[in-house]
Amino acid sequence: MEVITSDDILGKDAIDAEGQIIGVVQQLRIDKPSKKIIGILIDQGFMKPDLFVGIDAVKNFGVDSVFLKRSPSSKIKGLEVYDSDGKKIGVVHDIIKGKSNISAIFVKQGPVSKPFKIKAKHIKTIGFSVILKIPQSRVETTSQK
Amino acid sequence: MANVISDNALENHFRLSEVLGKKVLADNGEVIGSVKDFAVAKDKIVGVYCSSSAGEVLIARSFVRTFDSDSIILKISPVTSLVGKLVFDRDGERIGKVSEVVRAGNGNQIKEIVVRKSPISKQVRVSKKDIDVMDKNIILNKVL
Repeated sequence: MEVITSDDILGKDAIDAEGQIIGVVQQLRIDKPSKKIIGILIDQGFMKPDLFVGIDAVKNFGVDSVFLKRSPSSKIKGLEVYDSDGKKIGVVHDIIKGKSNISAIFVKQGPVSKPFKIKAKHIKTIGFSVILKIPQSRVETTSQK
Repeated sequence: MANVISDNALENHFRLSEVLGKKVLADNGEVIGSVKDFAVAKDKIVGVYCSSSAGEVLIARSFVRTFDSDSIILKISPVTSLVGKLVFDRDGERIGKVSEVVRAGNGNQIKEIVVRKSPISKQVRVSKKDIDVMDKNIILNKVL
């Protein structure tokens, strides 16, 4: 049996599946009746909400860091969006999640402009920014309700 | 507006000078630098000079997916942009940062990375086969 203590987890960097440090482990969450750890709470930094990650999504508790199995979809917000020609068309304002993946994103061109929807099928890459498969002229837009 | 002298329509074009200083994006959307200049040979653009944190990089035209007046998007993620990324081993121990990328020739294939904890610390060489994740940072599939 390999035992670690809360000191080995709290304050460590939480690293997502892409290797990005998404924050620092702030709390361990324990289910009172079963006495089992159900997840960790990650402090994502200034002006960002804390993120709860279920224990099933924790890959392993490492020496200097905690590895996660997935990357949180919330980190897509604020990424720049480019069309297939490389033209910047805005930043991700919001996301719509499907059962397992993102089904669409809402993109805003400026602080006062109205967000428009881009379906996931038109997205080529989501990484450091979002790159679409289609040019801006073909982007299907609908108003956000 | 310039006077046009041409037998053909010159529509949907932009000036190369408009692209200078614009972002160069890898295929994963990472901004790897900005356009510094173009390499021209035999009347054709054969490459893009990109000013990046790893220094100036000449990227062949064949690796460019799209040119636009807003940005240039590549077909690849240049391995030279791995310099400066954090490296963790399989057990989550922070090994250091990538200080050098050793490539096979001038292509975009890495042979190994050189990792240092600090500028004066001993360097660790990590082979490509020992790398599990190579994205926002680097995670190894073994413990060093």
